[in-house]
Parts: sequence; C-alpha cells; structure tokens
Amino acid sequence: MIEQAWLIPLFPVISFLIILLFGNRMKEGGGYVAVAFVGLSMLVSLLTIRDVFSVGRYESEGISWLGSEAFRFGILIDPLSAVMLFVVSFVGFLIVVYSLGYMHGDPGVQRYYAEISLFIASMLALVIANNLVFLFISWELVGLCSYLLIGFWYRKPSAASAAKKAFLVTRVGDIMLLAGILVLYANFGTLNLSELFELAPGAPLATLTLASLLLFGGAVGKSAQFPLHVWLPDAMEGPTTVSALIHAATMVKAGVYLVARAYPLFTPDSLLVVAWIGGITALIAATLAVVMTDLKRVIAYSTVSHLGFMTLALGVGGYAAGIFHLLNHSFFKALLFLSAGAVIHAVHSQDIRDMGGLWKRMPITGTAFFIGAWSLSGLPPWSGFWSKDDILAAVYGYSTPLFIVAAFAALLSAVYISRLFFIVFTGKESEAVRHAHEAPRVMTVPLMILSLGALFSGFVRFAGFEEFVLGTLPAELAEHFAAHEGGHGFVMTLSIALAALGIALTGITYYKPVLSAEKIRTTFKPLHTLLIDRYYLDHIYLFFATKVIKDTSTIIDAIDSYFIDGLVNGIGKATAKAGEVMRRIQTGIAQDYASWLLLGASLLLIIARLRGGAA
Amino acid sequence: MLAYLIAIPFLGAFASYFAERYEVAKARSVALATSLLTLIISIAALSSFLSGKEMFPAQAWDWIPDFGITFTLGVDAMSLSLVLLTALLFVVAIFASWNITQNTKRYYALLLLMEAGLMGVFMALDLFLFYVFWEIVLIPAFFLINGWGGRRRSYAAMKILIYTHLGSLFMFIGFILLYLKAGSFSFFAISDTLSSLDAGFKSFVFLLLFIGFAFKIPLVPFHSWLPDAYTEAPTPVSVLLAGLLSKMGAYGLLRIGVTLLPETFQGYAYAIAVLAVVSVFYSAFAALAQRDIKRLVAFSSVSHMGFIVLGIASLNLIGINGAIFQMVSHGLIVALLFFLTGMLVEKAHSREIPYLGGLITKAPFLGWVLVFASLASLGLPGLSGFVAELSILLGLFNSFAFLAYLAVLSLPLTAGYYLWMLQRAAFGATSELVEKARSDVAWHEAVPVLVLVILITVLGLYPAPLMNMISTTSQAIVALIGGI
Repeated sequence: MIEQAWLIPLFPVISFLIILLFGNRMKEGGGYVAVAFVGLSMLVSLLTIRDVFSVGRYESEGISWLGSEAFRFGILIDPLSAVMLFVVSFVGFLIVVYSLGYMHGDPGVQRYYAEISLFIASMLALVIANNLVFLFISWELVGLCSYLLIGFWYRKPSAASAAKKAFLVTRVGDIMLLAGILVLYANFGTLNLSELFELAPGAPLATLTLASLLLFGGAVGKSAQFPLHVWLPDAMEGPTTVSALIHAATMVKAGVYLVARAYPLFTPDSLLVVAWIGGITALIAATLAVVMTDLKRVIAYSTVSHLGFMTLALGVGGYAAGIFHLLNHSFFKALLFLSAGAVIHAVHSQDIRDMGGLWKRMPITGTAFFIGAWSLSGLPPWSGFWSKDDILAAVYGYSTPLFIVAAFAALLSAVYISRLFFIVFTGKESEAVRHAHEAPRVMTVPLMILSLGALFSGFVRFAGFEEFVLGTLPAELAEHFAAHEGGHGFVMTLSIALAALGIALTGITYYKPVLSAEKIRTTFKPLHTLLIDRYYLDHIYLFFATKVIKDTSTIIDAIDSYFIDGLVNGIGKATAKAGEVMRRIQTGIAQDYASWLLLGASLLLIIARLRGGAA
Repeated sequence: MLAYLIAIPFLGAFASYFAERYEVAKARSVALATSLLTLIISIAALSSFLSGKEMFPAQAWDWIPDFGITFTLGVDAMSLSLVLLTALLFVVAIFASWNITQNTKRYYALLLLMEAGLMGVFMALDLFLFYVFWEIVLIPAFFLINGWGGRRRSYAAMKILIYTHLGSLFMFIGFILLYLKAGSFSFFAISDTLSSLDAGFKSFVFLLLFIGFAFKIPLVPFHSWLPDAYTEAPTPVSVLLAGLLSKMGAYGLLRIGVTLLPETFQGYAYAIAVLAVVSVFYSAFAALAQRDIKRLVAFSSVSHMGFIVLGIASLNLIGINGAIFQMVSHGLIVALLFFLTGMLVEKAHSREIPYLGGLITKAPFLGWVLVFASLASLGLPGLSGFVAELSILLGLFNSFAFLAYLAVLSLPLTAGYYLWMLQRAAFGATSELVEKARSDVAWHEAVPVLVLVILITVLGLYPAPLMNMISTTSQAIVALIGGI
C-alpha cells in the first residue's frame, strides 16, 4: 500500500470538497462524510505503516510543481512519517467521531467539517512531503485551518482576535522557515529533503547552522516555543475538539516534526540552541500552567511545556525519546482535552473555580481525565512516564543546568495536572455541577479508545520503538544518537520521586487542605502576579504591535497625505483653475476638450520634434 | 490574428456606442460580446503560440516609413500572458459595470477603447507604436474616472492625467533619443544599434525610461496619484487600473528597460531593488493605516507591485519568472479585491472598516470571498500569489541576499493589515449598517468572482504549466545579461 500513500491526504480533500459544496443538504452538515473519508485515510495510513516495517523507506518520483527539478513534489515515507501518519490519522479519526456529538446542533457544522477535513488533509500532506516547499505549503495550510477554526465562533470578538493573533505570531516563525528555504536553495540548488541530506555533510558548518536555525525558527512559531508561545493559550477560543486535534495532538507537533525531519541539517551549535529553547519553554509554560484558572488554558500551557520537552529531547540528541514523547503526548493530551470538552459541555463554564466534585456526575469522563492526568504526571507505569524518563536520561548526559531545568519542569507537570484533577473532580459539588450529566456514547467511546492509547502507548518502547525511529536517520547519525538512549537508575528514581512529590504537594493543598492555596498565593504575591501576567510577554508584543508598528504606519500615512500629496496638489490646483477658465470660455464638457487638446498638442510637438530629429 | 485583438475592441467601442444610440442593442450587451470575442481570440492566440508558431514578431506593416515607424505586433510568453489577462479582466470589468446606468453608450465605448489600447501596449514591438497605445489607454481612463467616479472624481482624474502624462513625457523623450541614434523605432533595429552606443548615453536614456515606468507601476515616491485614482474610480475602472494599467509599467521595464538596455539595467539593478524594497514597506505601512478598504487595497497593490520590480531587479531566471508570474497573479487577485469593494458598497453600503463588522454573518458569500481574496493577497501558499512571491524571493536571494531578508520581513506586515481588516470587517459582531446588508448574489456577480477564485487557486496549486511557458521569455531575457 505504500506506493498508494498519496491517497492518504487525498481522501480528506475529497471530503472537504463534498462538504463545501453539498454539506448544507446533509445530516450533521456532512459530518458522516468526514468520518467516512478520514476513516478511509486512516485505513490506508495503517496499511502504509505496516509496509514501513518491511520496506523501511519509500520515496516517490513526484511531479514537477514549478518547472525546475528543485521543486519536484513527491512523498517520502519513513519511520518518522509513519509515526506522524499514525498520530494524525488515528487521533484525527477519533476526534472527528467525537465531534458528531460535541458539535451537534451548532449552526456552523458544515463549515466545521469542511475545515477539519482540509486540516487533516494538509496535516497528512505535511508529514509525507519530500520537498521543503511542499512541506511549507502544507505547513501554511494547516496554519490557515487553525486560523479559521480558532475563529470558528467568529461573532465573539475574542475568538476573532485570537485567530488573528495565532496567524500573525506563527507567521513570524514562518518567515524564518521561508528564509531557511532561501538559504538552502541558494547553497544547494535543491529543496528535496533526501538530496539536501546527501549534500549536507560536505557543506560549511556556518551555512548549515544558519539554515537549520532558520528552519528551527519556523518550529518555534508552530510548536509554540518560547518566545513565540503566546498564541497557543489564546487559541483555546476555538471548539475543544479543535484544541484537542490541532492544538494538542497534531499541528503543534509540526514544528517538532520539522526539526526531526531536517535533523541531518542541524549542527552541534544549532542543536544547543534547540535544546535551550526547548528547556526554557518546558519550564516557563509549566510555571504558568500552575496558576491559570481556565480549564483549557491550563491544558494549553501544559501542551506548550511538553512541546518544550520534545524540542529539548531533540536538541540534546535524544532523537527517539523526543518522537516517543510526541506519540505518547498525542494520546494523553487529546484525551485530556476531549474529557475537558465533555466537562465544559456539561458545566457550561471553563473556569475551574465553578467546578468541583464532578466525579460522581461524570464517572466515564472523570476516569478518562484521571488516566490522561496520570499518564501526564509521569508516574509509572503509563505512557508519559516512559518517554519523560527517556528525555530526562538524555538531558542528564548532556548538560547539568538543563537537567535541573527539565527536572523542575517535570515536577511542575505533576503539580498542575493533579491540581486540575483535584479541583474539578473532587471536593464539594458546586452549583454549576449539579445539572451536569455524562456525555453521549459518541463522545465517550472515543474517550475510552484514547484512554487505552494513553495507558499503553508507552509500551512500544519495549517493542523496538527506538530502533524503528532511528531508522529514519542516516546510519552513522543513528548510531551516534543510539548511544544517548537507555534507562538510567538515578534518573528514573528521581523522575518518580519528583512526580510523587508534585502530586503530594497538590494533594495537601487541594484534596486534604493542610496548606491553604490562598496563603501560598499571598506569600508569593510578586511571583504570582508575574505569572498571572504571563511574564509580561504579551504586554511587550502588544506594545510592539500598537506602538512601534501602528505608530510607524500612522506617521507614514501622514507623510503620504500631507507631504508627498501636498506637492502634487499644488500642481493639481493650478490645473483645476485652468479648467475653470476653460469652462467659462467653452460650453459643454470643458475638461474633456482640455484633455483632447492636450493630447493633440503633445502629438504635434512629437511630430515637430521628429522632423527636426530626422533632418 | 494579433491585430484582431486590437481591432475588435476598437470597432466594438464604436459598435456599442452606435448600437445604443440607434437603439439596436444595449451598449452593455455589445461590449460584453466584444470582450468575450476578444477573450476567445486571445485563447486561440495562446493555442497557436503553444503549438510552436513564431509570433515574435507575428505581423509587421510599414506605418510612417519616413520616420522609420512600423506597425509591428508580436507576442512572447510574457506578452501573451498579459494579453490573456487583459482579455479576461475586461470581461470581469463589464460584469462589474452592471449597475452603471448613466450614459452607458459613452461608458462602454471608452472601456473598449481602453482594451484596444492595452492590447496594443502588450503587443507592440515598435517604440512609437508602443507610445501611441500607451496614450490611448490613458485618455479613456481619465474620462472614465472623471465621468463615473466617486465624490472627488475630477480631482482624482486630473491627478492621474497629469501624473502619468508627466511619466510618459520622460519615457517619450527616452524613445526619441533612441530613435535619433537608431534611425528607427523598431524594437529589433534599436536593439541591434544599441550595443555600439556609449554607456553614458545609455545610462541617461535608461533613467528617463525608468522614471516613466516608475510612475506607471508605481514605485514610491512616484505613487501619489494612485490612492486617489484607485479609490475614486468606479469599481470596474479600479479593477482595470490596478489589474492591468500598473502592469504596463512593469511590462515596459522588462520589455524595454531590461531587454533593450541589459548592461545598463544591470548597473542600476541594486538601486532599483532598494527602491522597490522601500516601496514595499512604505505602502505596507500606509495600508495598515487605512479605514477605507478600497484605499487599503490600493496601497497593498503598490506593495505587491514592488515585488514585481524586485523580481525583475534580481535579473536571474527564477526571479524574472516570479516577476512575470506575479504580474498575472496580482492582476487576478487585485481584480477580485476591487470587484468585492464594489459589491461591499452595493450590499453593505460602506467600504469603511469601522462601519462594517460581522459581514460574514449577514452576507456570507461576500464575506467569505473577501476572506479568500485577502488570504490570496497576503501570499497564502496554495494560491497564486505565493508562487510568485516565493520565486521572486528565491531569485532575489541569489542576487541580493540582504534585500531578500528585508523583503521577507514585509510578509507578516502584509498579513497583519489584511487580517486586522478581516477581524474588524468580516468577523466580530454585526454592525448597525451591516445589520441592514443584503445577502443576495446575482449571477453577474457570482460568475466573475468564481472564475477569479478558481484561477487563483489553480495557478497556486499547480503553477508548472504557466511557469514553464513564462520561462521561455525569462530565459531569453537572462541570456541577454549572460546570467543563468
């Protein structure tokens, strides 16, 4: 089936077109069409992945997109794309099914399924593209769908604004990626990934460092790394299914995927930057997740933090660990979002201060959330534990300061997720919770399947996952990075201890309040304010956008209207006066005559000039 | 065949005038038939070009032999792309004129006269002929703005007349100087003589020509006629001004500036590229400050025209490919945008961003197409504008890497003003005015919009056929400079 892998993105494209054109006449706005085609796409993906186990790698001839050979677009399937194909098509399918329940009754369902189909198509194309321009096109199309879906409820000003913010902030990353493409094209004359990898070892290190850092800039935007992470929490304005699919399981992984995809182009220098950006992101986002009171925003910051872990892993050479975490995170985070969605659906609020004691009302959802949280917290034996442990082990061998950063971020992971669980599901029932009841089957079944994923995906580690993923890299690179992996007694003990400590601390604050949350807040007032204000990053960006950019624009507009235009108006007025005079002399349309005269006069002049010249 | 492309709209101009005058048929129907016929012939020209027929030059007659003036017409891939664009956009413009009721016989006659002129400009291979057609385009433009424009129409019309006349004057002096040396206006004759001329002379002529073209494109600081002209012109004329008239300047720069004076252009290339970058940023910032969507689109258009000049100045194959592709792509996108601003006034009774808001809720078709057109204009991959910008940037990076980095920085700015406009005009809560907006879409609105949407998408998804065709022209140009 691997040679028919081009069908994978094609199915959702067909579904997009059908729903766009005829969705208004269909049940659920064409939702069942989306389920069917995304299902087909998943089927082909699974068959393709099966072939990867035997073939290893496949690259198609492709078609010429822009005339020259540098822009020949084909598909490239290797272990890395196989992992991504699995995540995107499988999680995508489950979420489309879940949407049948979640989006039921929304007046915009047709648009929803059309955009979701287009998103899945572009995302699948992104992970099998063999050319950087092909990848970039898909990259921007998933960004477009993200923009449209964040602004899905566009009547809400906050949604329209968040959509714009997401597009613009990621656009800053995108132009760096574009610049990276320019550098690579200028130096290598090709944008085909395999050809680039062949040429890279012979290229000057400085060129590669520059190019790879620019590519990484794209990843920073897309995967919400510091300092461009600010768009992701706002993106929660979209439907929760969108948050789960695009802003947790798939699109935000595109940046991590890009780094992994272009790994042979990275140099030790650029990887150092990657590692530190990842580490800083993991820590900063985790601290923010601890203080937020919006259910979805906590999970969003947690996503940022975990994307940071993946980036960190790639930066320190833990290639397989990073991809492993990507896989696991897709399950437990989609699960957390979808169960949060069920909660929001039932309680009609996103503020965790309105919630409490939901466990009894929503046992299935609660269990699902509990599983996701357990996996995320890093306590054994579920998936999050294994990949986090691999990452910490990789960092441990790389740099001690980074290891401390990562360990602290891991501790905070356990803190914020257990805080969320205790506040929402345990304790006293609040007013809003009293009318809540369990979600319908079409929503809970996907939750159960995702729960199985969140529980067991970690065990692929013992089925040769690392070896499989490292098959993506050229042999000598793979060998080099394999050395970094592997369990480490001290790291594993510490990792478990930190998770347990985190949960214990939250437990004595929120579950059996020995410590008072209020008191902690007042004791660390300045720190708390700093965190609530999100390190003032948003303020700085806003200042830049409104003061620097908008003021420049106002000044240029003023110059344009008063200065440059003023010069011309002088001449214009004189001519208009001349026109007035003519009007008095001639009846009829004076200006018309004037222009014909002008034309005649200039023609005469020309001819006179010509005669002189020819003589 | 090429002569028909000029003759038919020219005769159509009279036909539509007299048909209505003597109540044989409506001027609009005659004009529509004429423009459709012209479109069909230009497609026929394309097919004979693709079949490998030599069309450069295709037809030549002596015109005023005493002065070495010939009536030489010819097309290469670049001319042909612009001829097709012209034929298409005039059909669009006639659809956009559906609601013009005042003095229609004169209106359509002028419109078709302009089409004849534009066809001539893009096909003339004689500098004098080129100049005559150049002026033939300008005169109807003046009358159309003056007769059917907005509130400040006479001001805007006068401004465009004076400004572009001034530009033409520079250009014409340049032509005369070339003629005096070559003894002929013919393209080929001049091109043969030029290599023997001294660099100082060529440099002077080039500057004259460049100023002429810079007014028309326009490049900042030669642009100040533009916002008023584009804004005050009636919708169909805005479509033509931005879609086609601006291309005359870019076309002239490439056809005459680069092809006739390649070494001289090479010497100025960096300076021109710097000016283009300034133009790109200046107009992008200016666009950000606009309240009127039509004015925003006008400034955005200047910014995108700057990209064309960047592609030309890069003087390599991919850059020039991108520049020519951008001529077509920008023509389609800006035509769509101006068409929509016309619909905005029609349906929502305003083009002012602060009075709009929630357009999508009330008029979904109009609102979503506005979203599409904005995304196309900001260079969304998958649509035609991206292909052009990518090629231009790749070309520019090979020639002037630093300027390419700068040009890349303009992209978020462009995204910024379009998305900010969409946030306020298309999304959000419905404003009082939009509450009363009409959501109906007539066939004569839907057809041109959908045709443009489809073309923009197809060219964006699969640009190879057009790019391969354009490449033949670019290769010939690049060969002149001895580049790759």
